[in-house]
Amino acid sequence: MSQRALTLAGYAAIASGAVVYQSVTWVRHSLTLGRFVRWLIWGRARRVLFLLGWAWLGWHLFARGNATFPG
Amino acid sequence: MSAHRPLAPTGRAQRRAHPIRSAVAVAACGVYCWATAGLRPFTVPIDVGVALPAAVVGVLALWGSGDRDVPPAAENQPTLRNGAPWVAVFGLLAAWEALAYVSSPRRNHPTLSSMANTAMGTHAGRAALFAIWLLLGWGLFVRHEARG
Repeated sequence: MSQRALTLAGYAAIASGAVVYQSVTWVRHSLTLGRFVRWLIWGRARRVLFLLGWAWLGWHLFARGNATFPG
Repeated sequence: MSAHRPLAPTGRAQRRAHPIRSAVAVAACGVYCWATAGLRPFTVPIDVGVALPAAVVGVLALWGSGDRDVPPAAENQPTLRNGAPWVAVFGLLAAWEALAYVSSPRRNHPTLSSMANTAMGTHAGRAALFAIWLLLGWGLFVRHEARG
């Protein structure tokens, strides 16, 4: 297995684990990712913090991104 | 608080959007994403194109958000047992990303950013990622769903 394939497999394994656990929690009506994130951003201060993080992500990717694209 | 105890039902928002209005809104968002994806970085138009929806989400998220300052019901708060797997997932992702970031060459050790850059190599990919970013912000901060 090439190094690249190994790295990608790692991401895939983590994503698969998340999907499996999400399915389990969804079936059991337990702590789904949505509920976990909702708890994480509960409260005005936390919400503002995550909002700034989300806005920065968009700025970083699209307004200051270096990907090549038509335009 | 026992682990995996069924949580209080959250339900869905009672009001249903009008289908035609929803379709128009989705189409308008699609057009906006496509148009914004065609703008070049480090220019005023893309600055405005990103800042505008971010400002709208920010205002909607903080406007009248008093109900969201009420702490979630105890049943909807994570316990050590049901919250730890999510912490582990994000911890593993961060660690794997960091490992790839400090390794080289990048082709053999792709990071999430480098994969995003690859996806953004086309107009369609860039528009799709922009739409995902908008949906993420909307879903996290604006969407009103009955909370437990």
